[in-house]
Amino acid sequence: MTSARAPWLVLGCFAAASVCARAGDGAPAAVDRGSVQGFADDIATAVQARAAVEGIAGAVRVSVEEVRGLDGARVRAALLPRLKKALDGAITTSTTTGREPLFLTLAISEEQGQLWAVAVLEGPRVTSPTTIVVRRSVDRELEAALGATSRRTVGRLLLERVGPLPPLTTQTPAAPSAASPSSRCPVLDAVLVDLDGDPAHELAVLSVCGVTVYRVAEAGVSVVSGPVALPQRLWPRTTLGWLVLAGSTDAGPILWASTSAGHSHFVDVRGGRVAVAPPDRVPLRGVMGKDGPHALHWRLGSPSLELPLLTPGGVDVLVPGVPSRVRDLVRLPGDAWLFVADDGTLAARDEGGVVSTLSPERCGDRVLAIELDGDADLELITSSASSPGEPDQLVVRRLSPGHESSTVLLKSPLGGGSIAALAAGHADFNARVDVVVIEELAGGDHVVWRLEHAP
Amino acid sequence: MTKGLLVPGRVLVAALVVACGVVPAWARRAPAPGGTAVVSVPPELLEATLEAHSFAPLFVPRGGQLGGDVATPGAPEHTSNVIAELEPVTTAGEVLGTSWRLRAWAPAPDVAHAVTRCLAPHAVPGSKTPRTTFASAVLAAAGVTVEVVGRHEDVVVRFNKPVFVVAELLTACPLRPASGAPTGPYAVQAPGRLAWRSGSYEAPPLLGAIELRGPLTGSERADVVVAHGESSLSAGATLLSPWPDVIALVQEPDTVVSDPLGLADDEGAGLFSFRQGLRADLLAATWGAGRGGPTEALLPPGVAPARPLPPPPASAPSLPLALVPLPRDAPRVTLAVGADDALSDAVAERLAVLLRGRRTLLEVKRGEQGKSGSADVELVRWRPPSRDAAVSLLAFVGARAGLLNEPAVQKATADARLLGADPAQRLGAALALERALLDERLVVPLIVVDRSIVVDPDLRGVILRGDGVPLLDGAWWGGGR
Repeated sequence: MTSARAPWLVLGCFAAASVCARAGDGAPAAVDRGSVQGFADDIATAVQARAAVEGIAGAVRVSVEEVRGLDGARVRAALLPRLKKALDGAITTSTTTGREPLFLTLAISEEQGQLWAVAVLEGPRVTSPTTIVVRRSVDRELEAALGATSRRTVGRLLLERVGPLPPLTTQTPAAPSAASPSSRCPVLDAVLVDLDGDPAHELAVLSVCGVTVYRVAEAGVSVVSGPVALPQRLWPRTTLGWLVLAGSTDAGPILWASTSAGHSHFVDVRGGRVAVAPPDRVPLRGVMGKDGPHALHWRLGSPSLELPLLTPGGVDVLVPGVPSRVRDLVRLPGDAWLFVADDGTLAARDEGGVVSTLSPERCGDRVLAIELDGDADLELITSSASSPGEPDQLVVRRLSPGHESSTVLLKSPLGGGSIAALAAGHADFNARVDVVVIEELAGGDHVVWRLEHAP
Repeated sequence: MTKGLLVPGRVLVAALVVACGVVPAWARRAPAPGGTAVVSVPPELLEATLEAHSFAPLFVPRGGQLGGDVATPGAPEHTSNVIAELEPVTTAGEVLGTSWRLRAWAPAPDVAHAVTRCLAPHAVPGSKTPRTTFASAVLAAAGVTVEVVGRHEDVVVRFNKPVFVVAELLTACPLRPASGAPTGPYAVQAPGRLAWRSGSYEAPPLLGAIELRGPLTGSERADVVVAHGESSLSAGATLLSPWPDVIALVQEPDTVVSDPLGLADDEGAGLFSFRQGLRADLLAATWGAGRGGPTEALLPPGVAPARPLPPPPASAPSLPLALVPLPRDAPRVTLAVGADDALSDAVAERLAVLLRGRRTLLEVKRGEQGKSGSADVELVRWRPPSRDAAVSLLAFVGARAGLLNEPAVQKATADARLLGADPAQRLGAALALERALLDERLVVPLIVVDRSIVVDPDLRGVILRGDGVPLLDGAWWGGGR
């Protein structure tokens, strides 16, 4: 295991200077062996196992025939030498050219967030080709070393894939296979909160399994605490959730979680405790008062929320000009309001009561209004209006000072999955605001992306 | 605000009855209920579409568009509102995987009836031959026999060999009781009209009703149109299925030996020249709406990842295109072609041209697909019925008795990994089976072409099941209708 660490450090220097610096500082390595080395080892182990079953032994010539979704040169430079070295058993790497060896031909591809290696072992001494398949989730090291697309810069906005969200799990009863994974849970909402007092906030995630807190760091995403389960309830066809910072105590932050199953609970994520919150109310992260978030009324099975707006104390707040049903509501500076209407229209009501449509296209259910690039104009972060299960896009708009229009700064797909949650805050130690995006892939895995302004 | 904190939540949310079939609605646009949708499908999909909306599926793939994400115990890649648990029966002397117990929320006799109907060929009114389901073809290809027994509250499925893909085999299998009473989110209200119903095993649908029709005629309009060709819904959004169809030639063993298509030349040059002459790219562009292209693999993208395939030869001669009259007694090749598919027809016409260059005539037989020995070559438009490559390929082979008699295929289908528990090993065995079919030239893949449906842009949440059936359980009108 120790010997495998050197290539990881070398690769880290090659791949990402920041990771190398952290390792050199004595910070614990994210994994004991690098992902590239681990991938090569997995392939070698699978080849040896298959060769043993088929009764094949001898030297092989290893080649990478096809590369899809990755940088072929990097795959051959980073993976192939490790694989050749790892083949040390009944199957070994050929070092001669005179004899007729076996052939191990590989195709390496990235497909839907998974890295695949398909190897065909064949040769004059094999009656028919045998095929070995190995797959692995893509992480940052593999992205950097093998050239998977993970970062894209549009203007001065940087959108990067941080890494997979560790599975939100609840253990299921005994499964037939020991390798059976536990259940994963759809993400409903997320919020950045400070759990430990440092400048980098943690990511609290609401899913149907409860509330889990993660740390989003350079090396990836790791679980800090949870999940704190919510009481058992029947879910309607439309599963929705809202998670907002309700306040904080000496013990830590208190979150308000509300769902379309009828949950409305305060959650102490540090203590793992749950308390009943005002029923049938949905807290709004975009309308925060001194005492906590304001709330709208919940409607069973519908994504629409109903006015009147309520203060934490239960007092009605009049918001003239805003429709009686909205999907999200945000208070802008002054007496202006931003809302996603019931039909998905993104609109604003200015201080004079004039309502303006901000986008000719409909948008997703939630909107963030934050100052992302330091130019004093608010940026609006939404998803596109695609349906659940369709590839989604992250959309960043700049709101005009008078709140009467907006311009698109960024419209970018992520990994081909659905945007499950958006959260804004400080996910790292710099002073710039981060937007954390949780994408759900077709297979149910979640990937965390970070959007920030990079001047 | 925090004084009222209660005891720690201890309830495992796996125990929540999280409706699989729910529409996960996230930061994006979430659904609202109400409305009616008109759906037009080809005749061959009418019954399957009706069945898919009237009867709850025993299993659906987990984590996809089809529904929730809480795995059914014992089926980590699947979820179900009907089956509470799938577990192997581990009695002494019994090989693990040969016997499975299904604990269901539905009555055991109904589940047993549905499982039997899906795992074994069953009689169809008005037809003399029993209908072969995809699961029964899979089991036939792997030489597996099945027995289904309803016991009190459980259903036990026994195989003669270990089978670890029970949930995959029962994916989309409708819970159709012997009485025929609906168990799904819709019930037939009038001929061609499905209405919302309560009491489904799935979460209530969002649409109030579905009007189901065959192919459109004249000025008829529909909100969802499933058709290979033109659609009357010109302004609709195109929805692609998760993986494309494959058009391939399946050769009889005798045809492989006689080789009328000239595929057996050294180093693959004959096959390469044949592909070059076919011009699959132009055929796909012209007859496949541009959504396709040539392929050398039988398992399409979306079902199997990139893998090494035999490399092309260094050089290959162009095929002669001699369009000269041939005598009536010239050698003939018979080709079985499925009906009502313009792309397949175009491929057949091109094959006729290529064969004429080899001084051979092509005789096309319609509606003879899948009948062993009825033609020298079969032109198939194949849609893998499952996202599982092994199950799909076994279904392909199992539906063609001629292939199962070939030694190379027999060797590959005897691999126990094909029905094993490890998905990667299953895929490895499937790719070995595919390679055997290709190396023996029993199957010659030609074209991959996307299957698409046209949907009214305001109708959201329509999905295509793996086998091409449109599902509107979670569909909703997003335009205020």
